[in-house]
Amino acid sequence: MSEDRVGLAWRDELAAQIHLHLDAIDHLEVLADREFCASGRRIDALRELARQVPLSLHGVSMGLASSGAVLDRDLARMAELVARVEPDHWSEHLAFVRAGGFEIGHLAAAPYAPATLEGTLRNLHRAREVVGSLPHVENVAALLPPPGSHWSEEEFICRCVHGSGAPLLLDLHNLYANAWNFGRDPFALLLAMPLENVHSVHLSGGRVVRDPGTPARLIDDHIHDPPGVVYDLLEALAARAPQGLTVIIERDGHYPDFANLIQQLARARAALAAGRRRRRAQDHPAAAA
Amino acid sequence: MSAPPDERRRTMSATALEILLARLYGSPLEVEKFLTDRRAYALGAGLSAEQMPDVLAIDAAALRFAARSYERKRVQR
Repeated sequence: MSEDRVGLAWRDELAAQIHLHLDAIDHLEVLADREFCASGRRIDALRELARQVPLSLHGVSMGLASSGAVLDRDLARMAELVARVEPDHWSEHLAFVRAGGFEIGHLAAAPYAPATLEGTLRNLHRAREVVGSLPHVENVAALLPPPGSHWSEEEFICRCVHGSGAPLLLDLHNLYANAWNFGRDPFALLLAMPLENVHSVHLSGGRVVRDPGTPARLIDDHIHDPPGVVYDLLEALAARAPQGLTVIIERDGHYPDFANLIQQLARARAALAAGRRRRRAQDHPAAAA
Repeated sequence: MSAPPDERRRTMSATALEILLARLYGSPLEVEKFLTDRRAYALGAGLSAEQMPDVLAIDAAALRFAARSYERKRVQR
């Protein structure tokens, strides 16, 4: 079994503390879109950081999940950044962000339909050609079920992952939010995902929003601590998936004391360890007895 | 070699649906126009007859919520 890693999303606000606590951090994830116009010295610093600790570049605006083609500009700048920083891997969302010149400005779920799947597979093939490797592809939170869908979210993700060979970056809070918002059991949804293809995991938090006249919705906002159920989902994942997992805690604001973030890393490690124990007990019940 | 006619039609209608969704998710004002006369809006967007039922059935409150939420995200950036 490969080794599990637990780390943090890099944010400049946390930089000093991250450097001070690098021994407690197994992996860093850098937001690629913030670095596309970075200075040469900053890129050099990122490359140096990537030599000290495994680092991934995370894109948020490519819009892979679409019947339309990803913009050449987006692929070219990711390719350049990957070549310069030399990360462990790069990642992007299975999201729909634009069509016909209209920018959504955020990550939306595309119709889970054959034309979207075909477009997504073409986009991933092209991404591998231009960037040099496939991204880890991430599930997104949906605010309404995508109209025009032929499949469930998990069927669509299975088809994308199996059709492309791309590793899955499973965001457990996005999964939990979709289960919460659409009345599903999050553990059943987890088990329906292609768990053998999960190589990295996001943990984050959110809040319930109640607008007048609208059913309450759980929003993935990255400014709250991951709730307990997200760690329970991580344990369930570790109990099912034998491969090593890279787990990243995402935080985009309202930063707690860094000691609190270190505790969250420890909690993720504990959830992974508990899941691994469950898996060993399933595989070797006599030894566990 | 160009795609077979069925595949071309499917891609064209998928593109029309994605453009309609991008317009709606990108603007609460477009959502209100859409909700005023869904059928006319969808026809104007070039949706196929088979896509129409799904678009006519979009939950209005959820759509308004989504468009407002995406707008808040854009403003935060």
